[in-house]
Amino acid sequence: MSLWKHHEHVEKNSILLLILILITVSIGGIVEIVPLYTIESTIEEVEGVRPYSPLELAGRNIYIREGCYSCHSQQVRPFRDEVERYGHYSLAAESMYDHPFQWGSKRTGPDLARVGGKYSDEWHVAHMIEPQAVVPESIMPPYRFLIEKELRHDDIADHLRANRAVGVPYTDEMIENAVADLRAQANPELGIDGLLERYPNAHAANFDGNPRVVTEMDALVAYLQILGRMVDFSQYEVEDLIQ
Amino acid sequence: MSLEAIREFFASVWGLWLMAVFIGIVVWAFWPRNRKRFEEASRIPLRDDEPRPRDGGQGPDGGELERDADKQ
Amino acid sequence: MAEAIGRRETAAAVAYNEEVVRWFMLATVFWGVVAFLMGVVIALQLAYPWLNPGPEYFNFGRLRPVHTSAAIFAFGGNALLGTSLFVVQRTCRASLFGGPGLAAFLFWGYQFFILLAASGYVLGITQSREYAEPEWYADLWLTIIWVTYLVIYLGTIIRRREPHIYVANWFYLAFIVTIAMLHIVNNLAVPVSIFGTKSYSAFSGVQDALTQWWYGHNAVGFFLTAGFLGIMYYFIPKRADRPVYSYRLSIVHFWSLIFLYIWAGPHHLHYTALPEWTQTLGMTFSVMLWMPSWGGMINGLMTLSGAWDKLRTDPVLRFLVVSVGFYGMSTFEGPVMSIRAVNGLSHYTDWTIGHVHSGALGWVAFISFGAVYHLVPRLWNQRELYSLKLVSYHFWISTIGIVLYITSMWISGIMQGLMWRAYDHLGFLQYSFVETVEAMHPFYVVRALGGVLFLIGSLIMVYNVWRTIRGDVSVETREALRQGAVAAPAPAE
Repeated sequence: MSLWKHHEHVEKNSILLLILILITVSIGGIVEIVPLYTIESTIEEVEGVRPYSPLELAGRNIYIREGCYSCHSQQVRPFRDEVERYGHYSLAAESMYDHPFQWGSKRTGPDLARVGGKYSDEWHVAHMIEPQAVVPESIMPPYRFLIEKELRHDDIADHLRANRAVGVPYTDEMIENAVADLRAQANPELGIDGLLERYPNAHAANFDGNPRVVTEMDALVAYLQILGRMVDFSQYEVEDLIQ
Repeated sequence: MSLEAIREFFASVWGLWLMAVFIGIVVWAFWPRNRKRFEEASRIPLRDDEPRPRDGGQGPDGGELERDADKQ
Repeated sequence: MAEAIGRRETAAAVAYNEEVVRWFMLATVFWGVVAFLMGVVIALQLAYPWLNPGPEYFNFGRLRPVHTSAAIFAFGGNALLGTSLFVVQRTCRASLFGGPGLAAFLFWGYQFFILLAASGYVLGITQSREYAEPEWYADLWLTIIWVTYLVIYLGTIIRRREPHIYVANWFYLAFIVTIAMLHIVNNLAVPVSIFGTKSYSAFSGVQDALTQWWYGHNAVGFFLTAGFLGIMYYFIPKRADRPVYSYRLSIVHFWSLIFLYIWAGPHHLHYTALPEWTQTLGMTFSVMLWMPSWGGMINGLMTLSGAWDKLRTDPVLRFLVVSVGFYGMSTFEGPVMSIRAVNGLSHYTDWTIGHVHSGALGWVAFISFGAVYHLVPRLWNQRELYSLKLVSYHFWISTIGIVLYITSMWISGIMQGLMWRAYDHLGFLQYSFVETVEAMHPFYVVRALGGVLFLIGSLIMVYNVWRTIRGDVSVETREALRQGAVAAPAPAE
């Protein structure tokens, strides 16, 4: 009987209703999400994943700004057709420095998780300027303005610092050299030894054909060209990666 | 006790816990003694006073009488 | 805005704040049209890419969140805020806590949030987190507004004169509280500079993905479902003039729904790098969700038992009831799509888009239209709407629009999913990606057509609402009222 009286009380007490709702809806999150932060097997250990270089990070921010996730996923599923079409299925480790993640939910265009290195820089630039000139059936919007806009990068060190605040292991040295690294990656003649030391495997090039200014096009193509290329899959067997 | 172990403990009991809570709610909702009270509650939207222009204009509202009736 | 109509005399002598509800209803109608228009624009951009004119502000990628936010937060949000403030006053027989000033702050503050968010998208200020695109400054502002909302809502419940808290308020309250929790956790971020717009999310990669879809799916579960179920549990009984089919079922519906929904998020991440046990958990709960969802649907529909004829004569009730039918349909489709094997085919395709719209257009928009049509005459002191025939036209045109939309997306989604995994007889992938894009074109055209019909329907609503507020009554409505076909609900039983 007392149980029913208790329910009566719950039912008529709005604060208690509020608290019961909160408890009810918290359980799922706690049991489901919290373990991902504590269980070590969530992210497999692979070599090669590194923080984005300053230019790649700036390019990633353009990717985010333009809402590319609306149409492009970055997550290859372990299906035969996807592995053949895009490459090795995605590992959790590959997006461990992605703040925010950009796995996406829709493929109006193809998956981009492993687009890096598939096409030349020139192809990307031409494709961004007018997608239909390269792929006639494409329904992608043009991004011509990227080549005309100079990339703002005076505050790039602040971006690295903000990333460090959320857990990306940027070193003091990386932050100190952020502007120089960014410029060097878009114009290799400035010297790229430091860049490659700090960001192994970074692809430095005069992406848009204009070495004088760093454009947003430079940044975006630099980002696209590193996608999926940090881990060298020839070094791993499938069994090593099973979570 | 490691976090992993705690998680495993929850993973093993949450099914039972879920069932218990659910059955509790169903029993409460369908407990015969509660029937009348819930039926009354279901009429709350219909009892709310809604002064509306009716035929013949904005006459006195039936809601008044009804509310009084409720109080008894 | 309407000139003050004068405080209504209510029988209970409670001075209900209806002014703010009137504003919210107008905002609902306005943002609804904006959302549908933006939907048509981006649907056409997918069918005809030359409609991306070049300046970055009007590219698909920037306009798409304008459409989704306008639909969910501006149209849906205003409908929820407006109806909830109406319902909580009526069912608690108390005026809004905090008085007209706080209510006005809530209204204008919420509209300001919408403008803040939408202007950001067009200018390229976005977190690119689906349905949580606004950047940190807009998120902070929304937090303030949302706490205000909770204070008003809970305060009103606390000072109620009705001993029992009516179940519609449970759903609204769960919506308010849970959205607050989701919003705050999912948007944790570190701004680059206090004077800049850019921030980096607190979480990354796989953890971020799960946090985001925990948010994303529960935005569906608590914003677009629980909140609108609050509308259902008040407005269907009210309009049909009979109590809900089973109040006890509604209690079971409530607790089981909010308990199960919160787990379902991982079904958005099947076959990804998310640990498999999490995916399985999400799938299991999603399938179980089918039960409370259909319990709720049956409860809503059966409320009409013995009064089905009202569907024939009252198009407003038809909107409300058919919306529940769509709710049943999409809550059946959802669990099916959450099964991993099905999801392997449907994910990343237009099938998802079709599913979302059967919920958004059929359920959310239809029940909102029903609530708007029911409330507008009452809020502006009119006997009935200007024209019930126009409501009927709106209903049928929109329904045809939805059917075109959903069927075209089903076909294109399943077709594209199958084309992606098709092999030729030599064992090579049969289609290049762009060939599958090309195959989508006719369905994108049909989808845009469906959207245009839906937009036309909403414009009919604008006209009807405008004439109603002006105090006009069409000949056929006057006739219908005389025959008692659409009862201005009888006050007493």
